[in-house]
Amino acid sequence: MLLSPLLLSFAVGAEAPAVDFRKEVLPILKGRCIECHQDPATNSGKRPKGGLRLDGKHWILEGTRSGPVVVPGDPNLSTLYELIALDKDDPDLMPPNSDGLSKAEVETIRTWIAEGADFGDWIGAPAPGETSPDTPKLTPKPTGKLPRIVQLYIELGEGVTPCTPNQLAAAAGEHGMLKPVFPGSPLLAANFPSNQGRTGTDHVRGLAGCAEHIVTLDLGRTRITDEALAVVAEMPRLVKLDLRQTNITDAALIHLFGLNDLRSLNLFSTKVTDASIEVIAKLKKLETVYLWKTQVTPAGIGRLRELRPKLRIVHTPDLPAPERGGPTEDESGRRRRR
Amino acid sequence: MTLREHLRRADEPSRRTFVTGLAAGLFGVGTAPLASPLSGALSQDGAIPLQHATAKRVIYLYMSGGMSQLDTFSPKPGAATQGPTESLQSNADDVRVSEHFPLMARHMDKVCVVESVNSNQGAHAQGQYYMHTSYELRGTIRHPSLGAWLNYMAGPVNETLPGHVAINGGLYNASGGFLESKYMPLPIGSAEDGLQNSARAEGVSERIFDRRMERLREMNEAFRDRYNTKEVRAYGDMYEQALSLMNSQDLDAFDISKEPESIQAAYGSDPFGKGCLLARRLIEHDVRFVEVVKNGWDTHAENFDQMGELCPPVDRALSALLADLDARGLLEDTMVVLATEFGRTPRINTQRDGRDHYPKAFTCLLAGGGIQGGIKYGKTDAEGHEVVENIVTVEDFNATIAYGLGLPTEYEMYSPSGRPFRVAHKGIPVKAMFT
Repeated sequence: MLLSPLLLSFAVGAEAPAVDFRKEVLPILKGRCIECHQDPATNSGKRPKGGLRLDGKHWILEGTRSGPVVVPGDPNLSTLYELIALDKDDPDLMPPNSDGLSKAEVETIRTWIAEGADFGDWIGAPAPGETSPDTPKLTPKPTGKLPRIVQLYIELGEGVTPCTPNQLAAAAGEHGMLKPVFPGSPLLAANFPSNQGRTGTDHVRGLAGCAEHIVTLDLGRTRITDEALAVVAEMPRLVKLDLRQTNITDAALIHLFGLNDLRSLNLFSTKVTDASIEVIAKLKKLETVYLWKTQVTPAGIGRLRELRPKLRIVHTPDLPAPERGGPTEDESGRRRRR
Repeated sequence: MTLREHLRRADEPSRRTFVTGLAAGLFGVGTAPLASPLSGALSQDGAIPLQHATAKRVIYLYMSGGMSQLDTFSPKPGAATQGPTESLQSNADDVRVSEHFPLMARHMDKVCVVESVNSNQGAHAQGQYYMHTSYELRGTIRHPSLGAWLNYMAGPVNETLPGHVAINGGLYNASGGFLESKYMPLPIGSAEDGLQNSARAEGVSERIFDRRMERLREMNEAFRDRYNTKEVRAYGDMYEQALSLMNSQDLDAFDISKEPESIQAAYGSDPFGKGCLLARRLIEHDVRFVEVVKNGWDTHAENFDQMGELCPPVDRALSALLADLDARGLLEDTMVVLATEFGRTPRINTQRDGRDHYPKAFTCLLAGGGIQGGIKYGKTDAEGHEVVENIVTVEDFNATIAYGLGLPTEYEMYSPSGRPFRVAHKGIPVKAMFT
């Protein structure tokens, strides 16, 4: 008696299964069944017919809502076998609209189930939440840190009391917009969207009420004058200042002394000259300055580079040279339109 | 609405409002942003908590038809799959580009090459839809594209211009989906022609025009009050948007002939170059999302000959765009995306000298808006067949863009039929791409 389990297992081992799933059953499923019984994700979103998927071990064993379709060891209780073994004129015969599987194919599936429905090492489409062993193991995504600028805002915001709604409204005035740099931060981003053309020095003065909180200030394309920058001098936490396409001159930049956290200064298309170079060089934390379309000369840029070798100085862009014949086409194109 | 429906729709916002309120009461934080109409930390209706953003706007360049990765930004020098396309060293140490991108080779220090993008959609319509929306194309619903999500969640910045514009592409892929019609992109058929029909008809004075509009409002009022539904409101919104656009002081943004000759020449005279120039002008005026489409990448036949035609305008326009944005200081908070629905087979289809559809491993680009330049993210094997490192699904790719824009990728919003959707479906942002 003690020997019998051993004998039994030996017997099963010796009598190797006649049907190899991968070699014999899988080709039938792939050729005749899976097209309608697969993952919607691989089938343009089409749901599997009858709620049955035959594209993975997990799914075949799961069956449908009405129950299993494969009962290992018992073909007669297995719907999968039952529906392929029906008479050719039976409306329920699978696959539908065909003469069904060949006798040999039906017999293969019957034997496979009768022998215990062994899938071998095949898994196919993975169960929900599992990954298929067929896809290579990939390095996990690095979770990463917060972007550098966000970390800076977190540090600068420590211990700062937020502005009250009244202070915010007064500071923004009729044209401005003040937003926290992210939810919960007391620090503010200030700009004048869609009103640049109507925004002058007077509209900017109000910002003084929240000057301690402003970390980015976008005055680009406004009508401000040099005096407007007086309010900027009161912004100790200013990280980014955008003055592009304004009429400001060297006189404005003297207000920037003491902005010890300024990282980015945009002077694109302003009237600043070489006289501002020394001022810019003294902004200790400055990382990038934009000087295209200013009156700063190549010599001035050279001087700034000397004073601040690590500063990123953006001036004349490396734009593609015109195409051969390009501008001429352009010219004629416009003429046609007018 | 039944109580259950009400609870389901109200669930997420009210829970968050409760938590925020609690935080405000206990720690004295957050009250100002919540109470103030000046706040940008919440979406327009106050329901969606936005996150820190490194980018404010997006220029989305769409290579329609499936851009060959091996012949553009992921060459595999020496591999059997490379074919006759040569490659060049770029100004970023680890990045080579194909011989068709000599200009971009000088600007790759601004770009993150995502070599391991993976899609499960191998047909054009399905692939384009998936790339734009992060959802698979279904018969029962239309999903919003990223530009619509951005304007819906974060709101427009410039009140008088549309927040979402699609150039050269029509409205098939860039779409407001199930969101209200005001999130649909404004389509621009040709960048050169700009915005058509935006002035009053000749012979209609301002006074007469205003009177007509007033009459129209009066006539519609009773109907609108009686049938105050989203669709009816959307119809009214459309008129109001058109009017504010007609009167916008920023209307010139649509006119690229206002640019100096030298700038126009740098971007190129083809529709894609002009589209990129228009896109730059629009984002300068705080339009939040502009898509520019370049067609013709479906190179099943004569792939290598076609590359010589397809790449140069993109090389030129993309280099001009990146250089120009950078010199204006706009690349700091503008994200430039170059995307396509899938790549092309590394194996060359020798009969037709072409490459076929290949969603398994392809290349897209990100630049600006907080993205780290001069790097390659993800890796395919030596011949470009399989992703071997850091796979980025289409959903992850879109989640990364959304993350840069401060849009919460976990937030579920409910469609009119009560189904939950997220900005990038199940995508997880790849934070390693940011500086």
